[in-house]
Amino acid sequence: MADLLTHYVSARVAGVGVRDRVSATLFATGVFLPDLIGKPLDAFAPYMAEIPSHTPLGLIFACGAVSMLFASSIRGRAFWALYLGSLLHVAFDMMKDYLGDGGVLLLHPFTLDSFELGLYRSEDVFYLLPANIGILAILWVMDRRRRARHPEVQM
Amino acid sequence: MKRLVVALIAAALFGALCWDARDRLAEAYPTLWMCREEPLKYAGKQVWVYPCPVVTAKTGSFQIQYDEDWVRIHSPLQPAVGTRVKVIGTFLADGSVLATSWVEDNAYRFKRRGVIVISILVLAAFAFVLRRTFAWRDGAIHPREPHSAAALQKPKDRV
Repeated sequence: MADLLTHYVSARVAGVGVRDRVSATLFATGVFLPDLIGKPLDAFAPYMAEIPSHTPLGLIFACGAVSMLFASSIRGRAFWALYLGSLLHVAFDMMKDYLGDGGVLLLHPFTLDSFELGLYRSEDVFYLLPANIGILAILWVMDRRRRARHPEVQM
Repeated sequence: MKRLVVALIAAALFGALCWDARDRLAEAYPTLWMCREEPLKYAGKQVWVYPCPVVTAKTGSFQIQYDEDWVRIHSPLQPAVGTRVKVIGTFLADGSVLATSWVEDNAYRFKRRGVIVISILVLAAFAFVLRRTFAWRDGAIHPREPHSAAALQKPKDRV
């Protein structure tokens, strides 16, 4: 897995056009969701039982269940923001290098094939740390400027 | 009530996928431990070995300490004794592994702990954002403020 800071930064960058704070927060929550579900399953459930927490089909059901916690006025938006955020997480995990073993079982249960793009290794997240902090700082400055222009908006 | 039923159905379908993954994927991607328990059944399967210390090395192979056991890895390239390597390879019926690739990863535990610490810090900070954005009210999560993209419009644009 990439660390959650890298996933959070990916959510902030991908959601940079999202002006609404509720949607942006839901989207970021969606980016965390696969690990929030998958890591406890990895620790306590049988081997491989956690895999649906990182597949598009499994995440439809997971996000569907979680979105039912939300009020009806934002339920649909919650589902889509959580789901798109979750897919972004899976896409980022798929970019990792798993030594050619394939890390993401993207099409489970339709096929058991696994996929990877091999663009970065898990230890690279430490080299990404300064870049992540830099990106967050830039986004924070952009946010401050936008709020200065539109003081009535709470982002 | 309808909300609870839909949530339970979605959770049940997710659970069914987990059940299927446990049965089929565990057989398709066995652990080295599973392979060594039943070597004839899993001979020829691809295995992934998390970073383990190299205990001996000689021409054509090296041995790693996997849990309490030693496992022979066949590879034309040898890592230095004492380093940690993670290995991808094919499990052989004699209990050894024919490496297709391996990489030295001496700081695995340190990096793993670092990833966990960073992730926990991020989650803790994000919990404050969630608390500031949402509130639990009348049995559901509501936004704390009116959520309207129209709020971004310039005042002069509004009627």
